[in-house]
Amino acid sequence: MMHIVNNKTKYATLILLVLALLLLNMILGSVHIPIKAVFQIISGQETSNIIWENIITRSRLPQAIVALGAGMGLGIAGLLMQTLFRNPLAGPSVLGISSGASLGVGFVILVAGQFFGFSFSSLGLFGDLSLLVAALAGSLCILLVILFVSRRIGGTLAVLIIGVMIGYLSNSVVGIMKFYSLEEDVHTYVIWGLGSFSRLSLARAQLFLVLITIPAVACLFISKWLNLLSLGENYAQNLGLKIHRARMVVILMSGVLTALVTAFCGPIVFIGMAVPHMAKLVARTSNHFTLILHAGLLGAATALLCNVIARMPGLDSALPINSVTAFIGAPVVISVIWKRRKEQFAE
Amino acid sequence: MAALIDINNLTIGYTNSKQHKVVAQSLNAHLNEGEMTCLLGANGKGKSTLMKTICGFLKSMHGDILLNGKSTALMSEKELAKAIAVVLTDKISIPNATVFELVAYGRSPFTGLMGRLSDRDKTIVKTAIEQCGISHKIHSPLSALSDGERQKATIAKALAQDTDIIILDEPTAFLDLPARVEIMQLLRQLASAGKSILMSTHDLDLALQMADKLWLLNRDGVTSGSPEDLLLNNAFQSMFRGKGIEFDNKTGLFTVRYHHNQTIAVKGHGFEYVLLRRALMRKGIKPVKANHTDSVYISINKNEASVYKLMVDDICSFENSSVEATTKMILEVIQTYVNTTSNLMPYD
Repeated sequence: MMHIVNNKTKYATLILLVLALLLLNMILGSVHIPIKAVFQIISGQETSNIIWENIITRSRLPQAIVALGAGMGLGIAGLLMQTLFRNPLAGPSVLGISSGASLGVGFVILVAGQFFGFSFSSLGLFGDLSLLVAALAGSLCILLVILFVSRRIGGTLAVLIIGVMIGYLSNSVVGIMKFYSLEEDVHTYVIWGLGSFSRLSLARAQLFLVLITIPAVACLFISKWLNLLSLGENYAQNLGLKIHRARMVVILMSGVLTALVTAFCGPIVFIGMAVPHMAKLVARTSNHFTLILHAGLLGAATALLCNVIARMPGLDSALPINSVTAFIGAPVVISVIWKRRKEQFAE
Repeated sequence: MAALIDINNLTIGYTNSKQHKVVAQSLNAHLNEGEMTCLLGANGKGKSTLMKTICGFLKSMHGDILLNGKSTALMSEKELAKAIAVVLTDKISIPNATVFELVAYGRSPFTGLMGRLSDRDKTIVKTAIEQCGISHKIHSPLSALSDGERQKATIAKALAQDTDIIILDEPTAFLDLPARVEIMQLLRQLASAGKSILMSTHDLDLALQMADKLWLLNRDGVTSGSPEDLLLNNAFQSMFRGKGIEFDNKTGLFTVRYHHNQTIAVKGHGFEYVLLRRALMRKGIKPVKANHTDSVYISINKNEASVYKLMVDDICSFENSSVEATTKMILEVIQTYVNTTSNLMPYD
């Protein structure tokens, strides 16, 4: 057999990798903080350097926690979509759920503010919270529409196409709203749309991690369904799966994960599409229990890596996270397609 | 022998909220225990639709399908999963999946929420893979299998499902002849070991030789019976009437019917005669037995240097051992003589 490395070693390595990247996230940045100090601060000991403490607890730690949770959530959500649609290019965004979040946020920033006669950018903290709620509401609305459609329509492909179309529709609605909005509001919206791991306070970052972990762990319990779905609908049904119910649950899980991440971080691209491929490459199995664990760990690692790169020492300010995720994600997707092409020749 | 599946006055087809499209109706048939049944019928006559309806993928439009006396419409997915296993034409492409993993998914109806395999499950999976003769590929990824091996892996999955009935939709399509025969032999063995097998196929010859029962599907019903009885009752002959195919009573095989407008007298027999006859029939010339009044005929003698000889008034005017050359020569002769000589066509 080719792969003698057993699963325990693999998981241990992956967990170590995530921890190492977490640590890197603490150490690296425009200010270098030594490892020893990092441990002191995290474990709550007294430190001499109050600036370092502030940097860690107010900026780096919440960022790292958010990146960890978002990467995990998107990796798993993407895996669910790729399995459901049996398409290597599917990702969490195919169902238009992140576009739904944009729609909600766009509505709050661009329309509500103007309607009540103030610029949204002047709102401060209250505005922050309302964005979160708007994004969640927008994405969950779209999720409901998709679930309704998938219950009425027979084929999975039709659901995929309708999801993509709903995404386009919400984008065009946002476009119209932008056109009629105040300049400051459009700016606020664009900044939101860039996506970021650094918007949350430590307390909210922890809340996010708890919220995202619940559906992520719940996904492990539908791994058998996912295994069957990957055989195709007819085979799955012949093996006793209630297709419609399974499809709804998979869409719901993936949708909730995506909605949460988008609400807290804004749209984050490419992680959800690229990470499942990495997971399949590393896990070398079709069993979704293993694949989900791998996708979660690798997603967290990838997001943490992207976050470190975005904040590379030497840069004055952080790069937009989505540019970095695209730089990491696109080559992964390309290499997968390339490998596939080669395999076809080998056949 | 007990009937496992009873199909009673079934109408199959597709429905949505507005339209009904009937594919076939008044279907009546029985699938018996431990028999291999082949479902035959032209494209579009509803073979796949019938199989999908039996498996519960499609609802029947009228009539019912009884499984051990119980209507399949009243059975849950789980119950059906433990009664009928399928092999479909859908291509299975699961990233990373190995033969073992694929076959193990066949145990799904019996495993718990997390799909963990017990030792017994693992033994069943391994036995299924062994029965299908792909033990050496047990840990190979599906993408590294040949089409035939992949089909065997899918059959092993159906075996692991441990059902009384296995339904296969054209399991031999897209395979080369040896692989087809191998798959049919495998299914034959499984039937002899007690499985009831229903498969659709276009391989008429193989079905005739290997099936216990045939179901001939037409728009207005199923004609079923053993291959020999169906032949005896001319069921096939009437199915293909007017379609350019005829049943050769001597060989027991179906042959393409050619329209011939010329004949040539031939003296001789054996394998060499059969081959020449085939080549001539293809060109629209029918060989007929030569008698002493024929002045022009082909003589076949396999013990001489040239097997085929053209005799004109008992003088050899052409000789060759190649069927192709002989056929060509005969065509030329016919063309020269066609309007002048009647000897060449003694019995038209």
